[in-house]
Amino acid sequence: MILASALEGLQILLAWPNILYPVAGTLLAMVFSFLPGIGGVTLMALAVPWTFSWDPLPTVLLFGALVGGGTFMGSVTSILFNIPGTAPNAATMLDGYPLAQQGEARTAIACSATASALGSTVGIILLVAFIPVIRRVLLLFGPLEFLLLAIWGLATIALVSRRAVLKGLIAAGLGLMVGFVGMDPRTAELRYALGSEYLVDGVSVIPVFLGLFGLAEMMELYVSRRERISSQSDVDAAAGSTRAGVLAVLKNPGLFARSSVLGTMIGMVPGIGGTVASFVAYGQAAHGAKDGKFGEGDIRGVLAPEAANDAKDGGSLLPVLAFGIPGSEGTVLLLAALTLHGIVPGPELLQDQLTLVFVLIWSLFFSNWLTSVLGLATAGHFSRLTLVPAQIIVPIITLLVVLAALAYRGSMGDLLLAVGFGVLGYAMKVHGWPRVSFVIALVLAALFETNLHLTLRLHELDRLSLLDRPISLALFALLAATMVWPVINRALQRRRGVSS
Amino acid sequence: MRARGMLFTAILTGVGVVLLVQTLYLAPGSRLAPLWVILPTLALLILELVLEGTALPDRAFRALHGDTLRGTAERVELRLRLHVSGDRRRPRRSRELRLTLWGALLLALVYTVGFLAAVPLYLAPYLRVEAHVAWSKTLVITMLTAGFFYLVFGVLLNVPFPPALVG
Repeated sequence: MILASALEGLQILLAWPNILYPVAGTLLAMVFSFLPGIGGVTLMALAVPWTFSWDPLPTVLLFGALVGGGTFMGSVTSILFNIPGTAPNAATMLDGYPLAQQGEARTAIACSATASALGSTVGIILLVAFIPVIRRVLLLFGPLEFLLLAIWGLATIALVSRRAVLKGLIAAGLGLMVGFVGMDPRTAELRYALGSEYLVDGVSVIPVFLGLFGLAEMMELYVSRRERISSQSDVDAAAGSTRAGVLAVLKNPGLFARSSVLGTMIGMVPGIGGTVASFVAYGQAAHGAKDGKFGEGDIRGVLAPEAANDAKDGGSLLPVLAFGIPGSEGTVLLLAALTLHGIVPGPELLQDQLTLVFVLIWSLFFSNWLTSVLGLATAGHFSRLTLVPAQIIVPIITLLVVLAALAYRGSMGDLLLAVGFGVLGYAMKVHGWPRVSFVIALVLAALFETNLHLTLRLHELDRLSLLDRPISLALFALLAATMVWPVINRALQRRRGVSS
Repeated sequence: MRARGMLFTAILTGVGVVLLVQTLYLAPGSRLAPLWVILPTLALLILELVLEGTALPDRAFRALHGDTLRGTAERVELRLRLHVSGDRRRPRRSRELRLTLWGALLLALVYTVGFLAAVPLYLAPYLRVEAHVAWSKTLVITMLTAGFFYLVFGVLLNVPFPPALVG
């Protein structure tokens, strides 16, 4: 039944004029997500009223493409200018921008495009595989599992800041404290808000990313008097290689598979989102690398977050389609569009309208591949932007950062926050403090604290039996391995050094 | 540069102390996670400050990275970097001051006349005065950039920018 519906869904997608909707949706999503601070979500919000009078089928085709088309292009601005197109693309900046500085922008963009296309394919395959057992899978995740996931993400901080472990741990502590700003999730008490109404809802990650990376990088570019972003002046040398970017994914099948599966699983869990998925994937990539220089331009630092970020799209559709529970802003708007057209998510949808579900899945798949193919084709042109003289690019990118901060919520507070974090990011960069530790901790702070409280409460009520929770046991094992492996690895390396 | 690095660590330590004091004033239910985080962070900040102040980073570096060939190479690279940046301290500081002034101008313009009007008012003087770009090129870049921002974000997307003081 699933196969027949899948084939029927594919036929509907490819039929004329149906195919125009995902093509138009993908192109629009690509343009919107290339504009920092605007992103595909804004486009989806604009598209909801457009589609009021449409039939359900074109709406499903369009929204599938809008969900899929916006994910990849955000990584292009991350790689070229250190400005995340969307929050989940922030992890790509950590190694993508150093690669662009080394004249490897095209390689990084090509790697990102390939990882995105293949990652989304893994996500979609897992989505289809999990449809029959989704209820049981989702019930396996509770507060303890989320807490362990957050701790696992935090445990990777020491690994991603291996050149300055002490500073990395301090930066992580400060990142967590910034994440605690605002209302306490349990008592609703206001913390560290400095009497400001703006901070009641906490610190939003978008202005922090814009400041800490985008503004700080422009400050450094200005102060250091470098002539351009890329260290290469020759057009051909600065372009890097599309082939090398594609091969980087194919040469690291293990890392790609781990990141994609991780992204899909995190995507399936409502409320965690792509930002956590990409940062956790980045952390596990840094953990698994023996020789890499993560944070200084390691191509695997682009591969892992991009594969996870795109794979998460497939995973995040599961709770929406099966239960009507959205896990991100994008899926909230998708849900709104579906329900406005009488498509009510739930078990009935998966049974009675499986073909329509597959139309959505195929549209997502199609748009992910279309953006990646276009990304590969245009990688060379985009990478030339890193050769524009710094004296021209600095004010223009600064204006783009200001625009992104203002357009995010129309608040002057976001701009001031971005400027504040820009100064902090510049100081951290100049004095050798790892910014990645700070942002990983900031992203994971809410997940950590909320689930810490819930887990402690369940423990108090004696409703937490570890032996009944296989996912928890697996996460405990993973956590232990993450902690112990570097020690064993170092001992092994010393032994090899002595024997040689 | 090393003194400035210490000053930065000292500022972070000060922020840590303020956060700890604020945390102690919170209700027990609200301060559980923050207290678990700020206490070790503050301890590490003080350790970092002591290490930087007593010229111990070299020994600490060895402790953290092992006395390997790579560790030695990284120490040499770090020293070289500190030396080079020390030599360039003065021009760096004057560039930072100029950057602060340009940043303040942009913020003031955005606050008073709004973002879209601030784009040409900031970009043209920057390109002409700071970047020494020719007048003709300055005008073309400014008009193209301001036009793009106005048409795409002002007209097409109708982005809700915060209200300006004037206009």
